[in-house]
Amino acid sequence: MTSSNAIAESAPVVDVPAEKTPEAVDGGPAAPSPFELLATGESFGVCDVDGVCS
Amino acid sequence: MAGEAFDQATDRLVVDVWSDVMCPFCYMGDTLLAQALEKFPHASGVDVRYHSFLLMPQLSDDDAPVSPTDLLSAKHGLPREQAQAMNDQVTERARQIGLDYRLEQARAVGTRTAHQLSHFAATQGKQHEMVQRLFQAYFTEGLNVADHQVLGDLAADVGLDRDAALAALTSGQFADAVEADIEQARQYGIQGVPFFVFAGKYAVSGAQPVEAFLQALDTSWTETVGSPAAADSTSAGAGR
Repeated sequence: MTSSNAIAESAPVVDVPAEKTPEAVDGGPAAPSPFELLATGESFGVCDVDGVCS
Repeated sequence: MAGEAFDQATDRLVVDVWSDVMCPFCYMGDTLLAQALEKFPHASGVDVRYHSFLLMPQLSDDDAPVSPTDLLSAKHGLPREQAQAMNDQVTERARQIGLDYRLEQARAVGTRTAHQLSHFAATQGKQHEMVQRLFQAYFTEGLNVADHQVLGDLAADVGLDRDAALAALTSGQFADAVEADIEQARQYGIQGVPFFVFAGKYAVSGAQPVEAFLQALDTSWTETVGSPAAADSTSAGAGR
């Protein structure tokens, strides 16, 4: 794994919004997203913006 | 739907990661992603970029450090014992993948400055090492990751120029980059971290098992760098 110098500062530029994220993996509230959320199995966990990690 | 950033390097798979230094599942997620990359046959063609996210934006870098257990207890009105139990569960999860969390001695602080150090390290090709060092400092060593001198030491630990790192922090050279990441996360609707975006297209929320990361890497690699179109593009470019 490398961390690139040339492209390290910019976030991905998404030019065309795709489908919206139907639901967060952790079961949290739906959030509009330009990304396709990959279905995964049991997550180790996620920390929400309210500071709760589950 | 890959964006312009990826059009510039079709021979590389970019993984963008939003995380916070004080996020326990971010440390786990980064570790698990690294383990997945060790098994991924095209790992040398993968770039991982770290973006800033604030789990506790109410904390200022100038505030005195506080116990994360006390913070959790106070913020959500939980008995301290319950907050401690939640932290114990997180610690056990970390132990299962080989990480040593000592949350009883962790010191929660504002992390904007630490994120600036991550951005500085990115300019030196050391961002992953820096992020991992920051995680270790917070979760295992109980260090104040808002303290400039501590951050300077951590920068030196990963081979960065300590004085240059401190100068960047003092000048706020990367403050705008941190805020831009935070704003970008808001625009993308990212409500929790870690949050991984593969090839600007596929997202994975939360720390995942190695197998899930491998699947995400396989899928995004096949559709981008490993696709016939990408191969044609690469060979055409090589012929110029």
